[in-house]
This record gives sequence, structure tokens and C-alpha cells, in this order.
Amino acid sequence: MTGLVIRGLRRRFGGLAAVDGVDLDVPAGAVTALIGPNGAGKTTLFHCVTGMDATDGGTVVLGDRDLSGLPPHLRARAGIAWTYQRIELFAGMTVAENVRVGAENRRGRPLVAGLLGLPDPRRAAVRAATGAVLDRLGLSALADVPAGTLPTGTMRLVELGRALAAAPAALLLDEPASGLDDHQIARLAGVLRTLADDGLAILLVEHDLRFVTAVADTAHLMVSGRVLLSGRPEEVVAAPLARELYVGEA
Amino acid sequence: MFYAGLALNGLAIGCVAALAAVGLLATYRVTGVFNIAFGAIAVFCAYVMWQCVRVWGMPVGVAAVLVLGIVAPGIGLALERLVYRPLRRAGASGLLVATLGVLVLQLGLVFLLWGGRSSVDAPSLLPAGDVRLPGALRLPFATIVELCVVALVAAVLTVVLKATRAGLMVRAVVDDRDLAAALVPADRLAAAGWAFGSFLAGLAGVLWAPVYHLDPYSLTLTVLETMGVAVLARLTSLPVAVGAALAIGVGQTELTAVHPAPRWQGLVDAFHTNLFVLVLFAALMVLPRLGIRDAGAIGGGLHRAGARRPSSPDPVSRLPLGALSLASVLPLFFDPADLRAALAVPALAVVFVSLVVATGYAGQISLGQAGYAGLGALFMAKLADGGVPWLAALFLGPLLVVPVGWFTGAVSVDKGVAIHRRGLYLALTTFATAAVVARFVFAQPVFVGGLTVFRPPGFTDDHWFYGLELACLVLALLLVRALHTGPLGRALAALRDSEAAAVSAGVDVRRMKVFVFACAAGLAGLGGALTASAAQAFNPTDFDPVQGLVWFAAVAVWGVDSAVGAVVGAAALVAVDAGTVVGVSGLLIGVGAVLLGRFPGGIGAAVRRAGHWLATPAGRPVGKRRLSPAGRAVATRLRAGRTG
Repeated sequence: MTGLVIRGLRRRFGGLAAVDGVDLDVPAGAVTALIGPNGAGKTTLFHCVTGMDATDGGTVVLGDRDLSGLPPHLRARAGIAWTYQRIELFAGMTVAENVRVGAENRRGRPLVAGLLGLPDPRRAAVRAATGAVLDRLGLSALADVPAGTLPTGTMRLVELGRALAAAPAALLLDEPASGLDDHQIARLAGVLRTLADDGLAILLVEHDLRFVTAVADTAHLMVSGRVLLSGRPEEVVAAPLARELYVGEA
Repeated sequence: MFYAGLALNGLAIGCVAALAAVGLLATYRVTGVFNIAFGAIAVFCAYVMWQCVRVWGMPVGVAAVLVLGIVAPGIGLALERLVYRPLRRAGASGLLVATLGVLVLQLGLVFLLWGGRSSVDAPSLLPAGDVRLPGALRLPFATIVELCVVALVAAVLTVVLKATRAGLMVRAVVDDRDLAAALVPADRLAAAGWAFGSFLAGLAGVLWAPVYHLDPYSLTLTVLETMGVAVLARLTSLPVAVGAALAIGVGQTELTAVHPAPRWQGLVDAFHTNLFVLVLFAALMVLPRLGIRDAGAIGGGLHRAGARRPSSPDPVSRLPLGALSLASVLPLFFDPADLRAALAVPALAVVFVSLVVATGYAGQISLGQAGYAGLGALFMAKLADGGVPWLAALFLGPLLVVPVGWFTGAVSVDKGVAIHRRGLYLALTTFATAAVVARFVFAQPVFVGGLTVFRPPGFTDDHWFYGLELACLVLALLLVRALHTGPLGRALAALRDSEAAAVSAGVDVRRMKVFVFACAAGLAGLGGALTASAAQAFNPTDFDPVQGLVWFAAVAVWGVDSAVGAVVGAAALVAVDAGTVVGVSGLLIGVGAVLLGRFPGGIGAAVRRAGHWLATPAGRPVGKRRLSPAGRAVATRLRAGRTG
């Protein structure tokens, strides 16, 4: 399949198996959600897939390329883009520059070329990609505004823009709805659906079950490092196990 | 072979180090701040003690009560109230710069009040004499008392922090002062912690002064070197710190009995006199992590958020740049003595600019620029001595420093612990590098003995040499510009603002850090080569590691992300040093550094703010009535984002 394929992923912290042999498919053109209670291992899995955390086994394959063992920046260049649970922006840069950093680091460039001030052959392409992403997310009017001065919802969009500017094949979002109000969540859901319709493989790690059911095609319930339940979001959310874990109902 | 007599001597050295380490750790445990200024406070108290006894004729006991009961705790209380309380929400870097400011301020005061003179007649609190041991061995009373003090402080602190309600409250304040303030008198506890930490510093200073020369720089450096013991103890374990200090002290003296082949004797001698430096360096290289509270961005407290946009040159910055260009040629019209003094400005400016690159643009704290600068000077002199044309040596020497910077950068990010090895760790690593270089290279006759630094015909005239220095400075500024603009500048700024976000955007953080350290080292090397050439001599004191701390504080005060500020700062530092008495510059830099928490971005940011304010006509309302159509669209979107 195209998209992201995770097989047998494991991560232990001492005697605790935070991620215990997880298999997960994140198909292209769909939104896949990963839900579960606090401490289930969702964010650890997220970091293992992005390479921000080491793994103790398993593979991460994007399309036909095995990314296991690659450092995070090379996974980013290979086509995985992600945003964090906590907002991570380049606060000293403008919105456009934030997005531009994502576009211009898709490929490495000799540092000496930058040091000598040689013209960047990708400049026009980077500019076009930046403009396209800003337009798509409705950020063009804010292009020159310092990112650190924006409200939370707009910061989330800028993060998303930075991720999309790299033209990724897979997009991983760790609790993108946290800190957003209902209006902003609905706007984000619309953006994600459009991106999925355009063929992007999207993996959501999310606590907000309403958001998950509204936007996801498939949901996986993770508990104690394992995926215990998979299916349509409304079915997974309504399952007794999920209700017990989330609202204490058996 | 183990020699008991030497071991007892080593015990005395180890006691001094243990006292410093316990003081550092105790201060860290009760205040949450790794107080790099510990040694400077110790030196200040030792000088006050000397003044009371030797100049004013006070009895030693009365002077000790005055110094340890009033002066030292008073310094702690003043620091807490004036410096650290306003910085309670600052990141580790903001606190680090503040402690550097305190260090520089205290040293400046010592130089100002006592002229920085060394003194061998520091009064001793401890009884003379010794205890006889079997085998004709003698253990000095002083060592016994110091051991008791160290053991007492370690034991009492451990018990109080772990087993008492007061200790619990102190730990709560250290963990989260704002949160603890709702439950306990956080400000009073923090003040008590600082008073206690400063008391320990004062005690250490008063006890050391009679053992060592009472000298501002060497005593401060000695304390800084014992930070290795604190690092070995992972900044947490007092017993490990005491044990390690005693073991290193004993090891240091035992090494004096090692006599290898003559060709290796110099190396062994260097080891036995500098074992603490080596331990600091090795501990930082080997230990994977420190238990450091290192919240916030690396440059937190040093930069002003949203202050710089790499791809958008600030029009306001052109004004000082133009004025600077004009001012830089003025020394060519000075009288010969003043021109000679001005030769130090471009050289120091290049070193300062190297700090802007590492810390200002990439957010990597570097306290080791003095070491790189000295190496640049040394390599240049060696190459020129070896027959390489002088002008080529001037640039090749600094190029040879690049691998050293590369190594430091690589160490700071290797083994996948880049996120953890930040802030204080980086500061200690770079400082340790400078200290190792100073002790194992600059202080070794085999490397610097008989070294001649000369200027070739044509540049013996100060006017021509100053012109060459200006050309080098322009070259450095062009390099800096390349590092501040375009994709490379944005990648570095990304690294500074958020490493995590930079990685997710595909920025190779490791390569970037190593690269920036290498560039900064090369630039510092060029500044050092110019410094030595200006003086036509290699003076190790010009590249003292403590000098590097002063430089860092100075650049932070002038705006760590401002190349123009760095150049102006270098000129101001040289001018103040030349035009006033010793100590004034340190005092000014120290005051500026401790106030940085209140004025993020330093003088550079203040000037930029003033420039923007001037650019807005007085009395003109800045509001929606003046917005252009595009501005109104932005404002509408911003309001929509805020209200949802």
C-alpha cells in the first residue's frame, strides 16, 4: 500500500513497554486516528515514527522506503512531516518565514554554498511552495506578522503550514486540536479532510473524540503500548473498552 | 606506588576543592542556580577579610564574624532581591548570564577597590601546627578543620533537605517558585538560600586565601575548575562531590612522584598541576547527562522574541552601521599612543562577532572563545615562525582552529542527547575546553616558550596594520551576514528558536551546530591572531578563560544577536579600559549583565526599539485609522483568530 506502514514497533523504558509491538497502517488519502488514555504510549509511538525517540525494534516504511534507523531530519526530508503536542514555532520569524523554512530544507544544501552567499537554485520553487501553502491555509494576509505574536489557533495553522511546505507524503499530528476552540477545531477538520482528499496520509494522535469522529476514516485504540481495537471512528469510540477508558463506563 | 605523605598533602588540596564543590552544590540545591560567580564572591569576601585585618587592624575573629556573618550573607540577599528574583521565570541561559554578570561585577569591584593586587599575607582563621601520625607523617590542623567543615555542611544539608519540613519547602521553591509561593514564603526561603550559598562562598574564600595567593583571577579560576567535581557528582550528590574532590586532590599530589622518561616529564607535570581541569573536561565528555534544570530555549533571556527577521534587513540598523563605518576610520587620525591602544578594537570586535554567530544567531552558548582566540594567535605565530608568509599565516592560523570548534560542537550534540546537552552543559563544555587549552597549551613552555610574534614590513606601521585589521573585520562581518540571511540564516534562526521544530522541518541540527561552532572558532581565532599581532607578543593572559567569560557578558549586554552591537561593545570596552582605572569596565559589564533579565536583548535591542520609535512621528496615533487596506485585512484576521 502507499502511505505509512508501521510494523512491530517496540520501545521500552526499563521494565516498561511503552510501545509493545505495534502494527499500524496509515494509508494515503485517509485520516487515521490513534486514541487512548494518558500513558497509553501514543506520543512515544509518534516520536518513534518521527525518529525523535529511539526504538527497540520494528520498522517504519513510507511508500517503498524503509525509514527505520534514519535520524529525524532525514525522515522529514523523506516525506514525513509532523507537528508537536506543544506548539513549536520559530517565534522570531514571520509566518511566511516559518513556512519557508519547511520548504527550503526538503533537501540538503552544502553549508559552504550558503556561507559564500551563492544563489539558491531552488529559490523560485521555495517561494512558490510557500505562497501556495499560505494561500491554502488562509495565512497570506498574515505572511509578514511575527509568528510569536499570533493567537494559539493561528499558531497551529502556521505549524501545519510549515509541515505542508515540505510537500510530505505523510503528515503526523500530535493533539492538533489541543488549545483550540470549537470554531478553530471545525476549521482544522476541514483543512485535514481536504489534505486527505488530495492524497496525503494523515495520522492523528488525539484526545478529542468528537474531533476524531468528525475527521478520521479509521481509528485505533491504544492501551498500555498496544493497539487493542481498530475500526471506524464512531465504532471504536462507542466500544465498551473505549467508553470505560474515557468516561469510566463499562 | 602510593605515598602516604603525598596523600596527606593531596588531602589538603582535596579539602579546598571539596569546599568549593559542596558550596556550589549547596547553592544549586537551595537556589536552583548553578552559581558560576561562587568563586568571585569567595574572592571578594577574602579581600574584605584582608582589608579588615591587615589594613584596619581588626582582630581576625571580629573580621571573620563581620565577613561571614554580615558581608557574605548580605551579598546573597542583595543578589536574590536585585538579580535573581526578577529572573525567576527566566530560562537557564538567562540565569547563566546573570551569574556571569555577578562574576564580572564582583571581579570589577575587587580590581577597583584593591587594584587586583596579589597578596601573600591573607589572614588565616585556622590554627597553625599539625597532628603527628604514625610513620613520621603530619596532618595540618587546617586540613582537619576543613574536612570537618565539609563533612558538617554536607551532612547538615543532606539531612535538612531530605528530612525536614523546611527542606521540603526549599525544594518546592527550587522546583517551581511561582507555584510554591501559594503555599510557602517562597521569597524568604529563596533569600535564605542565597544568603546561605554566599556564606559558603565567603567561608571558602576566607579559608583558601592563606593557602593560595589572594589573587582575583587565579582564585576565581581555581573555583571554576573545581566545577568538575560538581559535574562528577551530577550536581546532586554531596557525598560523591566530597569523595571525588578528595580523590582528585590525592591523585594530583601522587602524580608528583611519577617520573617517566624526561621527554614525558613536562606532560606529567602538566597533569599533576591541572588534574581538576582535566576532570572537568573528561566528566563533561563522558557523562551523558546532568541533572540540570534547563528549561526554556538556549538563548532564553538573551534574545527578544520577534526581534530579528533574518531575511528582512532592518532599515534602522543601517543608521548605526553607517555611523560605525565612519567612526572606525577615526583612529587613523589619532596620536600614535591612542592609535596603538585602538589596535585592540577591531581584533576584539572580531572575537565578539564570533560570539554573535554562536550564541546570537544559533543559540549555542559558548564560553570558550578565549581559548579559540589564543589558539588562532598561537597557530599564526608558529606558522609565521616556520616560514609561512605572514599574511597567509594570519588566515591559516585561524583556519587551524576550525577543527577545534568542530570538535566542541560535535561533542555537544553527539550520542543523540542534543536536547539534553544544552544551556549550562554547553557553557561548561566550552569553558572547560578553554581552560584545558589555557593550562595545557598556553601555560606550557614547550608550546609558547620563545614564541615570537611579529608584523612584516609594511604592517609595522600602526596605520597600515589598523587598516588591515579593519579589512579583517569587514571580512568577518560579511561572513556573519551570510550566516544571518537567506536559507542558511533562517535555518540557524530556526535552530535558535526551536530545535524540535527545526528538526521536523528537515534542518540537520547536528550539522548546523557543529558548523556554527566551527565558524565561530575560526572567527575567534582570527581575532586572537590580530590581538597578538597588534601587541607583537603572545600574552597568555589575553586569552585567559576568565577573560572569555567577561567577553561573553559584554556581548550579551550589547545584544547577543547584534553584530553592530558587538563591534560597538568592543570599542567601548577598549575605550573604558584605556580611559579609566582597572575594574570600571568589569563593573559596567557586570551591572549590564545582571540587568539583562529586565531588558532582554540588551543595548542592541534597546537601540532598535528607540530607532523604531523615532521612525514613528511623535504624536501620531498608531491605530486602525492609519492602517492601509492590507493592514486592515491583517487586523481583521488577527481579531477573527483571537475571538474565534
